[in-house]
Amino acid sequence: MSMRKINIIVGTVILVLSYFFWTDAAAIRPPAHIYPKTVIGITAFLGLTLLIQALFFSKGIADVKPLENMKIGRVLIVIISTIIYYYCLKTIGFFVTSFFFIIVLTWLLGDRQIGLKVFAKLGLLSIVVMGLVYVSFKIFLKVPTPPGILF
Amino acid sequence: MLADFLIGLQNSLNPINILIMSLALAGGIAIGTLPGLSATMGVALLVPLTFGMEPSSGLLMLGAMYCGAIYGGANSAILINTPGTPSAVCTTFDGYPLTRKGRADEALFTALVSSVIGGIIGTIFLMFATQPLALISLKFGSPEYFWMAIFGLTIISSLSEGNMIKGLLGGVLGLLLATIGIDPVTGHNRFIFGFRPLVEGITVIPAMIGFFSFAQILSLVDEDQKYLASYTPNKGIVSKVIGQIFKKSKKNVFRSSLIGTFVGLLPGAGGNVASFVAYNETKRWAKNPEDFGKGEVNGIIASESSNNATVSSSLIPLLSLGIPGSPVAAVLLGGLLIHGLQPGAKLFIESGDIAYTFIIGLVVANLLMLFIGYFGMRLFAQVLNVPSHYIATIVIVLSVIGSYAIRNSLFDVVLMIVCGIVGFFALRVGFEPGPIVLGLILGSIAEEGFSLSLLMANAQGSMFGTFVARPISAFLIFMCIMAIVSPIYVRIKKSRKNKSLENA
Repeated sequence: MSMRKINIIVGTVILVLSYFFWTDAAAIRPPAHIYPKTVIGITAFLGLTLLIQALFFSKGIADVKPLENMKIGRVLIVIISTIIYYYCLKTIGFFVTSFFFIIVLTWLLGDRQIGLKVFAKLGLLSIVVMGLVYVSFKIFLKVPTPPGILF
Repeated sequence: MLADFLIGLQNSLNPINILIMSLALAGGIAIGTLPGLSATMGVALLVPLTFGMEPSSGLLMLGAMYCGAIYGGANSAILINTPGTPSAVCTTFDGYPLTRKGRADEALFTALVSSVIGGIIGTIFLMFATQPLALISLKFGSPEYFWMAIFGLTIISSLSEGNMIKGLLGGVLGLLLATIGIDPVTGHNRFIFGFRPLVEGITVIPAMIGFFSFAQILSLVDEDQKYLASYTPNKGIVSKVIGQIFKKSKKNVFRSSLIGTFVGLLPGAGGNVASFVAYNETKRWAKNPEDFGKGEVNGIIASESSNNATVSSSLIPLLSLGIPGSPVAAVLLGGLLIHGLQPGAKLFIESGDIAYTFIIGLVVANLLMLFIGYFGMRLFAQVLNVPSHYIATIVIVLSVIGSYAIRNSLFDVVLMIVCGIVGFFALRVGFEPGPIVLGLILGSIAEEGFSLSLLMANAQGSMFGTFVARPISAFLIFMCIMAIVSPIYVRIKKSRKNKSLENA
């Protein structure tokens, strides 16, 4: 997708977003409405400028395709793994979930070799990292971690 | 005063106190390096430890922790493009590009020396100009805060050279995100669209971790390089950096430290605002503004000297007026009260020895930081020798705990992930995270300043009188105009010069 098309989409999304914010701002009592409405107005104006530039003055836009050559598979692996990680740590608990998360994601992003040695190495890494996190965050700094049914 | 000063010097050079400060500095640097763990948290954790100590030793420990934590943010900003603290956001702009060029140790040592100089300059002002500076901070009302936020926002124009519209859009989207939550004037919910967790607003730190840290991890995974950057320790870095700072960048380090000192003494501002303003000014006065954002050491010098200068100056309202101007100052206030010390005008009269021990101790802590930071820097730089897929996974775990720790809220973890995903795709299509985070940081200051000024103007019956006809406001308005006009003037002058060279 070219930068011009992307700018058209972004400009349109900004305008739609501004519309929703503007509608919500109608309920704000004066004079508290002035600041947010000004910010929304400037946002909409800039979104419109981006849209007009993309539609009518496309010569000034660099001829690049920013979403091409993207390793979307690897990016999606991280995003999906992180979302699953979030849901698991909510129920299971931070330390147990993080231990498995480190093993699984490091393996997925690495060479993906299968073998006892590989997983033993990843397991050891995870134990060391989580051990350090536990000692520094939980014991020394007393930082709370997301609780769950396990640890 | 001289007697108190000498007692202070003696106390702060006591070997036990030096050991205490060294340990606190090391802890502070580690806390600052980890995104999500703040200086406030570090100082608050140490307060109970001071119960059994001499008041002077306890305060020295707290001060050293504060210095170390503010400096520590630069390490992760430079090495993995993830600011450990909001005040290190500007350090990423030039620090990370230097790391990518294989000059990580130069960037790290520049940040360290700049932080030390900034910290010492700020402390000198704390020592000798506490009373007059505290009075200036009292003259800062809502209109001044509003204009200061607008002045801070003018940096967007220099952060968005690729596409000005996208840079400005990023900035206003940050301002828009900052309006989500409770209205500061009426107390009503706004822009939450029926989603209750948004009532508490968009917290800066989880959003910052998302836009910088998580988005950076996605970029790293997308690049699929074995290592983050190539790194081999360069020889002669110490002399090179010291030569750069003291010969070529002395004006920059002094100006940025003064900006940091001034911004730091304003309650509610702090290292993040100071570093943005100093970075903007440095770029504006530089002969090579086009190099900023691509690995210009002056960018790191500006950011780090200014944010560390705020450490001491943020204590000026506390020590002279008894008003804590920052969250860390509020925690330190608790530390002072625990030891029976009442901050304010009488502090220097009734407990002058302890007050001067604390102030001179900040100078000593900054000097100690030079040594501790140097050894720490060598250790942190080894991160670059770890394969990037290990770093990616570990940074995600640290980002989760960092986001959660701010308010013990799982919503902040969601916020971090969402901001990270949005930030990654936004970066791909030309939106830099800097302006968005800048808008988010300055948004609440700007809105509060504007709304309260508006109420003042309505009461006084004069918009002009409230917003413009105040000396500090008028000066800030002048600075805003200069910040907008001067880059345009320089650009026109440059293009004319190029044209005349072409014609010749």
